[in-house]
Amino acid sequence: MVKVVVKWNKEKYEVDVDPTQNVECFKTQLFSLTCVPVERQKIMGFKGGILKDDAQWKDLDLTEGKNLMLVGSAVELQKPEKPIVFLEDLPASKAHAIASSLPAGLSNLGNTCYLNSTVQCLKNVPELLHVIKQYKPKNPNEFSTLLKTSQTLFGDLVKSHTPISPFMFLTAFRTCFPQFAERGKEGFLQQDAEEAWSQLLTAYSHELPLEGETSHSSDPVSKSVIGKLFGIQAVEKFICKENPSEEPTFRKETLLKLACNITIETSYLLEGLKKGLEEEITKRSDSLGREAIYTKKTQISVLPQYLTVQFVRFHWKDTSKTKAKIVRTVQFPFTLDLFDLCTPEFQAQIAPNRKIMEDEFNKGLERKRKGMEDKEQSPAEKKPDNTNNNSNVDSNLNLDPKPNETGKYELIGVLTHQGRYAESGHYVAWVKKAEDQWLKFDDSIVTECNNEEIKKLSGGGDWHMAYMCLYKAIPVPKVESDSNSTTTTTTTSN
Amino acid sequence: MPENNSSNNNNNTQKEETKNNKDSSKPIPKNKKNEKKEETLSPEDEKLKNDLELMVTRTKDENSEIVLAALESLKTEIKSSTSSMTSVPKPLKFLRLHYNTLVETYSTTPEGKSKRILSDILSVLAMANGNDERDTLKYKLLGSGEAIAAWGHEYVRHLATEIGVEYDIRKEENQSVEDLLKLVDEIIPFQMTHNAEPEACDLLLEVEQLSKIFNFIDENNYPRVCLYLFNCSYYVPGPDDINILKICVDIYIKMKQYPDALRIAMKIGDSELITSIFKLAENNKSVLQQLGFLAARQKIVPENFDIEPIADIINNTKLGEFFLNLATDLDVREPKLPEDIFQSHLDSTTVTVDSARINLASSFVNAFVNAGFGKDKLMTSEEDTKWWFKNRDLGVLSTVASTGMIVLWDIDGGLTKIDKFLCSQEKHCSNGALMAIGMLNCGIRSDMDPALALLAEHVNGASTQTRISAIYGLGLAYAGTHRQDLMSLLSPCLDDEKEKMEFIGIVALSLGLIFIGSCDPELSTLFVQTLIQRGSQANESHARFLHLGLGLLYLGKQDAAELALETLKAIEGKAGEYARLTVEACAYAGTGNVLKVQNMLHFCSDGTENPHHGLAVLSIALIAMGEDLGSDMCLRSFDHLLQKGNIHIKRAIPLALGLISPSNPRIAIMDILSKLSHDNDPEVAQGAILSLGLIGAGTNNARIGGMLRALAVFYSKDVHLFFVRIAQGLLHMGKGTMTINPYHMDRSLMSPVSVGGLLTLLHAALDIKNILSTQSHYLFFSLVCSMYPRMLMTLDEDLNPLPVSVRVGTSVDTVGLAGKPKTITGFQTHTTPVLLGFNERAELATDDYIALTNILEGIVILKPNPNASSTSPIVTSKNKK
Repeated sequence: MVKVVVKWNKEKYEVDVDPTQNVECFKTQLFSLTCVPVERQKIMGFKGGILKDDAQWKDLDLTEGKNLMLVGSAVELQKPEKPIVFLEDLPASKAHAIASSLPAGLSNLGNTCYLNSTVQCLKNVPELLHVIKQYKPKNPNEFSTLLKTSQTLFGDLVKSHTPISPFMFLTAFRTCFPQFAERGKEGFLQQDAEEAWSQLLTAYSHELPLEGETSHSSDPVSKSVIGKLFGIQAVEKFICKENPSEEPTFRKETLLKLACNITIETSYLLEGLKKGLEEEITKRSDSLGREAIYTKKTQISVLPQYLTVQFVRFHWKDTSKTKAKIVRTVQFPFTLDLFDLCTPEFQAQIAPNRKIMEDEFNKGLERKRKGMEDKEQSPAEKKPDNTNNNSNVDSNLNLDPKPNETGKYELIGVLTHQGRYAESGHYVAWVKKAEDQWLKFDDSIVTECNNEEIKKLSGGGDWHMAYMCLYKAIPVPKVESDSNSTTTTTTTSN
Repeated sequence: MPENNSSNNNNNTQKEETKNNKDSSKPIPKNKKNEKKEETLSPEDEKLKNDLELMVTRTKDENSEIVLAALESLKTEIKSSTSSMTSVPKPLKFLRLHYNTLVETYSTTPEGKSKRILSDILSVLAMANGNDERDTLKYKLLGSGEAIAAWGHEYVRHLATEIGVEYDIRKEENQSVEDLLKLVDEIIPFQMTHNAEPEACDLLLEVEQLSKIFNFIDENNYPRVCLYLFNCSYYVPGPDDINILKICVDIYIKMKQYPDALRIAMKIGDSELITSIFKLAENNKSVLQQLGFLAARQKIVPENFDIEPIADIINNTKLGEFFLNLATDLDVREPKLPEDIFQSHLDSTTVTVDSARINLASSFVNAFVNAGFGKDKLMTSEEDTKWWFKNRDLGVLSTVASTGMIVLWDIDGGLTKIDKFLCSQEKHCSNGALMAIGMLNCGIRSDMDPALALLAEHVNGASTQTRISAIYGLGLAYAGTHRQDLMSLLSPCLDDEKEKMEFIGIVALSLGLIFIGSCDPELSTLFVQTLIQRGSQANESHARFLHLGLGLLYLGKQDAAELALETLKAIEGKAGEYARLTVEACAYAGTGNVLKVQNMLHFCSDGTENPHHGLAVLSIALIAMGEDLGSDMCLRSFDHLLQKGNIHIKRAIPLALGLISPSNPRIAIMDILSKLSHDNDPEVAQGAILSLGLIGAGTNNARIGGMLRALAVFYSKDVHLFFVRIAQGLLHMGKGTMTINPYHMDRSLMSPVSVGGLLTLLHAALDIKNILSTQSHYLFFSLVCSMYPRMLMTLDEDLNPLPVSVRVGTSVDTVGLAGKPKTITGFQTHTTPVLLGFNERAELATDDYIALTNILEGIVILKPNPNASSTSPIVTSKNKK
């Protein structure tokens, strides 16, 4: 017997080697000590490198107390079941999509930022995108061409991450509405984004009728998908100023936007909206048999899923023959409550929902008060993402959009204008991506920004200022769920 | 000079006068010139002047006794007044006017005592009356031979200068220099005892009598003498520099400073000298151990010397242990993920899908950051992360190989961790394991020789990739060992005609690393032959490693490469040019040889579009590195090249900058690289990014860190990101505890193996597109040869860690300064082990211990100081650097 010292993994083992036995026997001895399988044992220390299985002890320099070294382990290397897909393996377009998380911008085709920003804002309405995607033209006309090009455009926009040039769409749009093809000395002129916005929606409403709509209304808007998504049903009440005894008349109207009239006192959006809903008009009075001044009071009877607000910032200046701009600061909230503008009937209808909402909110507050341990669950942070995240559009998509049931809206898009006149300057779209995350679509350049940047858009200087705002309804919270979703109301702009 | 002095003097007196005048009447500035002409002297000066004039007149006297008396009193006047430091002594000044009179008198004076005395006086006066004719020396030699010391320090200095000039002239005209040498023998002792060692050295160097200094060495002046001589050697052409260094060694040996002697001997690279120093210290165990640590750092083994008592030290067996000790003390043992380095959550570069390239970069980063710690979270962690699988093809190879860097220097524990990969069926995986085995053995010697044992059978393995992995692994493991058995194992591979250039290149590179600086003629011939045989493939990118392998054989050996260079002339065309450039640059690496630098510059500015210009630029850096002046000049010439040079030059400049200051983040270089990192040419930018990593390697430099994070955002969608990531890994190498700078021992000693590692990477980076970013990224691992902890660790005589307080500060250049100047500035006090920056020095803050080496760096043994003051100041500082 010869005693050798085998070092393995920082440990030393004294092993007796029987020179009459073969090497394999020695390895088995080592196996019992170290659990290293015989075939994986590599023994070093003898001349000539690793000890071979067929070596004879007599040929080796085996001496008493010789130091040997054993390398080997019992660990098996495991392979994952699923092969990994690498970025480099993907086709170029897809790879690029993953590499850049920002959506695509739209190239400016010569003063087309008004249209680009409008399209980017509307892209934020997944329901609209869905119907456009499903659209099949029935009888070809210029509107259907516009829709087809829109279909391609929105499809590209969702997929691509590189700037897109909307040539086809622009041409179709200009064919439908030749006023946008107005040319100046240096090509096409800048246009009013609000006009483009309404005209686009009008065109869509022609081609996107609601399925099974039986209403006899002559207005194509109200019986289209557009009306369902954006239409504000209002009751207009006409009171004759000159003949108070005359019975007020009512008229139902479907509006696509609310106007925020800006006067010298207007500092907040809601004030401006209220003003916009009360105006004086002249119309023929039956009782007086002549033109008379009426007060027109509008009250909202149904609120849509998506609310468009226009800041009436431009007014026609006869002196300069331009639309001049009111630069006054009008602050707009991140959460808008239109309860006060609704008809009493509608108020009664949504009151229970608002109660639920308030309770949930209070619960949230209570929870917050109760324990600081819930700190990270505070509403602002743990709020479910109920904005339009491209990835979950399809799952969230409500194909039959319900009207607003709470009277409350959250801000999801802002279209801003920079400059002094509507037909000049620059339009930019700001679209909400997630809580405190916004995307700024400045034509082909897309950048990220936060709530603070959005707050700066309220006007008052030469910076971008809000011209249109797109709000989305805040749904009634599901009571049984432990959600904090209702607590969005905490986030207001000021 | 003398003229200056006198005019100064005039000014001085003038000032004095104006001062005197101030009391009586305010001097009007306009009159200044007039005043100067009609100097009014103070009464004492007036008297002195008159006395002197009288004496001068008397020297012309007929009566020889009067003459003698006059001369004697003149002499006394002069001698008694040479003490002033600021101005020419008054007697000299007044006598200046009479110098010519005295010269005339001298010529008429008959031979004799008075003539000799007059000669002495003239010799002194000539100082203040200087012209280029070396009158001081002339009259000194004609004089009475009186002791020079009597005339003061300034006189001696003056004399020494003139001797130097005279010596050169006489040598040229083949005249005798006997009398001069006699004078030198008189001057040297005076200078050596009067704090003028540098002047003494200069004089001896000029008269080629340096060995004489040996007799005047004592324990007080030897450090200054050696320091001065050592630094002189940079500026002296060969072979004189070697002679100077040898004298240094002799002095150190005489003063029993064996570690210092060994340091210089290793610089010379004289193995006999090294062995003799080891033999001298044979009986002193601690000193021998200290010598062992020095040799281990340089990765050399004394030949013909029984290293058994210090085998563990020389073999670097415990290097890993010491390093972990340092890591524990600094509290950095916790493994880090690449993501901890990237901090990509702070910018928007996070990508959801695995990118093979970025994963590969992460593997490298993981290896660099956790190098030597033996623990990481991707490759060796307990729960199998299957990280290696998240890579593709050759990426798997490099990823698995990275394990070798993580378990660096840990032969016992590391091999087991690699074993599981070795047994894998996946070819790239087992090949990577081979490389890992080699890497982990880098610089470590073991009786078991596990790297050779495990890799040898794969050298002739089935696939080319397996062979490459095994051979490259061997190259890394045995770099600098000059092992003959490896030559017989590897050199046949060069003849393998089936194999492509990549294989041949790696074989040559590995052999070059193993036989670095050996000048092995057999290998040299073999390489040249292969070059000729493979003539047709000489333009392939990997051919550069065959050239580099040849160059490495002659690394730093200067003239020894001449023969090889001659033979290379046989290879015509571009290939021969490339080989010659490589070999020449390697041979003169770190020598600062100005002529060679100029040659390279000329080559670069020939106005053509030669791709080899890049190599020449890199060569300039290689030759100039390690010496401050040279590298500064290098920076300047790069500035010009950058503006005027072609694209090949521009691509090589960032790499050259990286080579010139690895692990030494100098602001100037950082700025240039930062600028180049945004260059339009991707290769320039990628090279600059890589070099940012190299200059910051292991420093955690915050400024570079910031730059790289910004670059990561900037290049988030480009191939550049791969290099940004790698650079980030380099920056945090060993979590900021390592250096890749080949210079150590107070920047005096170049480690050839370390240079080899750096050069391999940089040569690969010369073709960044075809080598580093695609198929041969494993060449990044060549840096393992250069990696070493940048630490100061103190041990007691039983080699156990011994924490003591040390002062660490920026080093101060003390060459040629008298007395014992402070060697560091702006220091902080720490407790060992501590980290040392590139420009930092340490000194003991306590006198309880004496260090066995004068340079506190790496691993230092301390012994108790028998003369320690009983109340040593207790200075401890918890905050480690």
